[in-house]
Amino acid sequence: AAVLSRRRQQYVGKLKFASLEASQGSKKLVVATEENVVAALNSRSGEILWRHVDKGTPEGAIDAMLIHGQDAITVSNAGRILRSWETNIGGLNWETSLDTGSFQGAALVGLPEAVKYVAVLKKAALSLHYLSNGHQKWVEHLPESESTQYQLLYSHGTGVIYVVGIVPQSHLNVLTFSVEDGEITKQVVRVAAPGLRRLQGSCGVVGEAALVCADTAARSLHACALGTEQDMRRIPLQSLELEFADDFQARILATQPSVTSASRTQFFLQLSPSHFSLLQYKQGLLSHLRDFQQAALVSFATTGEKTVAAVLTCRSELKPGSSDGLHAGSALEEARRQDSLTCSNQTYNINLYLVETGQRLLDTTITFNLEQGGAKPQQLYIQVFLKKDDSVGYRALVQTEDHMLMFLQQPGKVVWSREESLAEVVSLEMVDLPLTGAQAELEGEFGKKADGLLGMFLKRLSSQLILLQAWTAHLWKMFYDARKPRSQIKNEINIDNLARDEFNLQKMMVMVTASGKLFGIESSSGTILWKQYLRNVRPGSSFKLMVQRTTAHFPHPPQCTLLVKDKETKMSFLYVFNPIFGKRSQVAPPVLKRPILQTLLLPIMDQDYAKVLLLIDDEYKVTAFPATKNVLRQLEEIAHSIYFYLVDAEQGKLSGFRLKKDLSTEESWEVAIPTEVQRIVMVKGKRSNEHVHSQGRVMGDRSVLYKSLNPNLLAVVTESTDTHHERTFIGIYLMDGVTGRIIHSSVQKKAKGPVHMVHSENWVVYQYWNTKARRNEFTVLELYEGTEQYNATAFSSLDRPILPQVLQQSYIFPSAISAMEATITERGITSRHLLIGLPSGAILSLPKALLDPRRPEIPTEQSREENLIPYSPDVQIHAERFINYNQTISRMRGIYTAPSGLESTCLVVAYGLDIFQTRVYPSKQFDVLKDDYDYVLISSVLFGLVFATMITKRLAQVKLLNRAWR
Amino acid sequence: LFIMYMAGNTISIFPAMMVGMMGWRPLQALMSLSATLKALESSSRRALQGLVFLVGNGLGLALALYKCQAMGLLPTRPSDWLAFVTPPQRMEFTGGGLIL
Repeated sequence: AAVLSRRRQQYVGKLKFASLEASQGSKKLVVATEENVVAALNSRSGEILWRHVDKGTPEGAIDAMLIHGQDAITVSNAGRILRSWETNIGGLNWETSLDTGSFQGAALVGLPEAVKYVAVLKKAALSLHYLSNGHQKWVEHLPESESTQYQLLYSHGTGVIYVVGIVPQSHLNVLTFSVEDGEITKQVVRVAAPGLRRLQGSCGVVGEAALVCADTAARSLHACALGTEQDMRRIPLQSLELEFADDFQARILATQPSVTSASRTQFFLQLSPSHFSLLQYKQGLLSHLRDFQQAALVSFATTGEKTVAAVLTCRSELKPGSSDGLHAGSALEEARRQDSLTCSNQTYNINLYLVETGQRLLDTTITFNLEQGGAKPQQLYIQVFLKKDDSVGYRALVQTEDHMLMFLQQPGKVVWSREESLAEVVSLEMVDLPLTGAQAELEGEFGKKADGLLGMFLKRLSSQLILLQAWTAHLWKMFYDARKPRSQIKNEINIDNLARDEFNLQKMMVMVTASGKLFGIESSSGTILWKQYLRNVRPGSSFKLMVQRTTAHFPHPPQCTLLVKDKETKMSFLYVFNPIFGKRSQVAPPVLKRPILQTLLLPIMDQDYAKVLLLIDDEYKVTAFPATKNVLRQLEEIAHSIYFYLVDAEQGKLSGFRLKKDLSTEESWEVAIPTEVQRIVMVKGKRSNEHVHSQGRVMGDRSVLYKSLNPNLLAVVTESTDTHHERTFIGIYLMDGVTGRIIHSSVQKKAKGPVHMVHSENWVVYQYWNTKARRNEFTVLELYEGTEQYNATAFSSLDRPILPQVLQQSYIFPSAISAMEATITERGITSRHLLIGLPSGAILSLPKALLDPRRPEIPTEQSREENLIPYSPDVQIHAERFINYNQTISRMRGIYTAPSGLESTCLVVAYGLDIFQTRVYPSKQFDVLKDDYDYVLISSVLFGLVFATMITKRLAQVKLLNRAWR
Repeated sequence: LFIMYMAGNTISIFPAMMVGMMGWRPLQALMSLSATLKALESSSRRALQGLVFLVGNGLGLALALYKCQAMGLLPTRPSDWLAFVTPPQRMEFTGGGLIL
C-alpha cells in the first residue's frame, strides 16, 4: 500500500519580463517574475528548464531584464546588483554590485558593429558595463540630479547615449554621452515642456532619436529630435482626428528592433483602455496609419527585417464589467466596475499588422477562448518567425489577470498553459471526495428514517444488489483491462469518476491564491479539476476558507465558504461553492453591509447538515449563515456558551465577546498589551478537528499525569518594538479565550522573531532567534493538570479553580525555519511529529518526543520506564528525516496537514513557490500490511495445513477402524 | 515457589507461562472440588480435609495473583484504564483571532 506518492509542482509566479526568441526552432523563453525568479521555460511543453529563485523580500526584486544573444542581463535589488545569465543552461556568467541610488532604467548599448555594453541609469549617475564580464567601463554623474528626474535612456549604435530627464511641468534635460569615455559630448540641452509630468509610459523614442510624448491635458503630442532641437513641436490630436479618453493617462509604445540601429518610426498611442492607434513620426511629420478600437493589448515583434504589430481584440464588443450574478450587490463590485472592461463571450483574436503600412497580414489570426466569467488578458508577448515561404508565422504568450500563462499557436491551438497563481497560495483546505453511487446508497440507507421492518429489509436487499452489480462491473473491467498492455491503462482522473478510495487517502485540495483564483486539485495525481476566478478580488485581500458541509451528508452537496475582505475598503463578501465541482452554490450568502472582523464555525448544524458560520462585524453584531429558523432557535439555546475573541494587533488589544440571544454581543474581557513596548505578532488557537486520544501520560510509577486540554486556549506571541540585540525580547502568553484569564506568561529575553509556533493538544512549540548566543532555539511548553482531574466529564473555562502546571524546556536548532506544522491523524492515537520547513527547501519530520519538557537531565529508573530520552540541548537535523528528499520546495510559506482514513497516515501539503504533497507515517504504517507481505506463501501454507489436517484425520480414522477389527 | 521467586518480576514468556500454570492449577483443582470430595467420602474427617484442600488451593491462587500484581499484570492503577477515559465534553465554543 505504500505507494510512493510525493509530488512537486514548480512555479515561477506572475511575469514581469519575458523574452521570446525570434526564430521558429527556438525552444525556450526566458522570464523574470514578480516572485523574483529568473527562469527559462520550454516553449514546447511549458516545463521549467531552469529556475533561479532570489530572496522573497524586495531585496530580490528584479527591476529590468535585457536579452542579448544567449545571455540574459538582470538588474535586481533596486539597481544594486547586475547579473548575467547563460540562458541555455541557466548558469551565472557574472555578477557585479552597483553603487546605491534609485534605479531608473537599463539598456543595452551597441556600437555599429556589435553590442558590447549595458548602461544602467540611476537617479544621479549613469554607468556603463562590459557585457562580457560585467566590469565597469565608466560612471558619470548626472548634472542637476536634485531637481531633474532622469528616466529615459536611449542609444542606437552611433556611439552616443541619450539620457532624458524631466523637471515636471517645466522642461526636459537631454544629455548626450559618448560611449567611449563617458564625456558629455553636447552641453545640456534644455527643452521646454510645460505640460509633461513624467517620461515613463507617456514618452517614447522613435526613429533616429526623436522623442514623442503624449500630453493628455493639452490633448496633443509633443515631439523633438534628441540632442539637436531646443523646442518641442506640439501636434494637436485634432489634426489626426483622434481624441483622448477622459481620466486616462495616454501611453506611447515604441519599438527598437535592434540596439545597433534606430527605432522604428512607427509607434502605438493608447488613447483609452481599449483604444490604440498606430502612428508614424518620420522627418518631423506625424501620420496616422491605423486605428484599433476594442483592442485589449498590443505588442511589437521583429524578425529579420520585418517588424509587425500584434493586436489582441475581443471578438465581440468590450463591455463595462457587467454583474453576471457573481456577488451581486456587493459594494466592492461597484468600485471595480469602472476600470474593468470585459469581453462578453471571452473569445479573443490576435492579428498581425505590418507596421510600415498598418496593413493586416493575411492568415495570421489566432482565436482563443478564456473561461467564462474569467479573467481578461493582461500581457501579450509575440514570437514571430519567417516561414519557409517567407510569410510570417508567430506564436503568442498571453498572461491573464489571474496569472495564467497561455502559449498559443496559429490558428488558435493552446500549446500549453501554466497556472502561475499557484505560486501564491494563501489558504488551503482538504475535502473528502464523494462516495461512489453504490457506497452512497448504502450510507444513505442508514441516514434515512426507519419505515417499518419490511421496508428496511427490502431497502437493504436492493442496496446489496446494487453493490453486487458494482462489484461484477468492477471485476469485468479488471478482466478487460488485464488483456490490454499495461501502458495503455491510465488512471485518468476527471471530475466524473471522482470517488473516495478505501482509506480516504485521496482528497480534494481547495486552494485559494492571492490573485483571487480558486483551484480544486486532486491530491494523488495533482491534476487541477476545476478553477474559478473571483474577478472582484483586489490584490492584498485577506481570505478565510471554511468547510461548512463535508461530503458525508449525501445527497446534500458539500459546501465551502470563502470570506474575502478587501484591505482598503474593508468590505467583505462571502463566496459559497461546492469544493468538489467548483460550482457556485445555489445557497445565497448573506449580504454583508459592515466590515467583518472575524468568523466562527460552530459544530451545530442546520437541517441540511451545514455547519453554522457566525460572522462578527465592526459593530460587534453577529450574522449567522445559514440563518434559517432552525438555526436561530438552536443559536438561542446555546448562545450563552458562544464566545468570540478579537485581537487587534495595531492597538495591542485582545478582547472577548459573549454572544447574546438576539445575536448581539457584549464585551466580557479585555487585555491590553502596550504597543509602545511590544506588538502582537501571532495568535493561535487549537485546530477544531483535532482528536486527542489519550487524556494523560503514564508516569514511571504507573500513576497518571493528566493533560490540561483546554480547547479554548490561545497562544499569543509578542515581539518587542526595541530591536537592539541586548534589549529585544519575545513574550508568550497562554490565555483562555472565554475568560481572558492569562494562564501562563513568559518573556524570553534577548530573543528575536520571526517566531514560528505550533499549538496543539496540551503543548506549544515555538522557535525564535537567540541574539545573545546567536542561534535558533526551540522552546516547548506543556500543560498538565496533575495526577487528579478536576472534572473528567465536562470542560468549562468558567469553572477552573486550579491553574495547570506548566513545564518548559528549550533546545538549540541548527537552522532557521520557514514554516512549521504538526501532523494530525484521524483519532490522535499515532504519535505526533513536527513538520519543519527549512529555508533550504527540505521538510524535516521531527518526533514530538524529542521536544518534551519532561526529558530528564539525569536519567532515572522511572524516566527510563517512561521511555524518556535524556535531555540534550541540541536537536540535530538528520537528513534521513527529510520527507521530501531532494524535491526541495522554494520559499516555503506554509505546511498544511490533514488526517486520512488510516490512523497511521497523515496527508501533508507544503506550499510556497512550489507545491509539494506527500503522506507521512509518524508511527510507521502499523495498520497496513507491509509491501513485501507474502500473500502467496502464507495462504499456501495455510491451505496446506488444512489439507494435511484433513488427510491425517482420514488416516487416523482408517487406522482406528483397522484396530477395532483386529 | 522458589522457581517463582527466581523467575523475577520481568515479563517474558517463561515467567508468564509459569504464573499462568500456577494460577491455573488451583483453579482446576477447585473446579474438580466435588470429584475430590467424592474421593474423600470414605474418610472420617471429610469436612476438615475438604477445607484444607480449599484453603490450600486458595492460597495457591492468591500467590498467583500476588505474583501477577508484582509483575504488573493486574489493571489496578488509573493508568491502566487511561485508554478508556473519554475526553471531557466541551461547554463553551470560542472562535476568532487577529482582526482580518
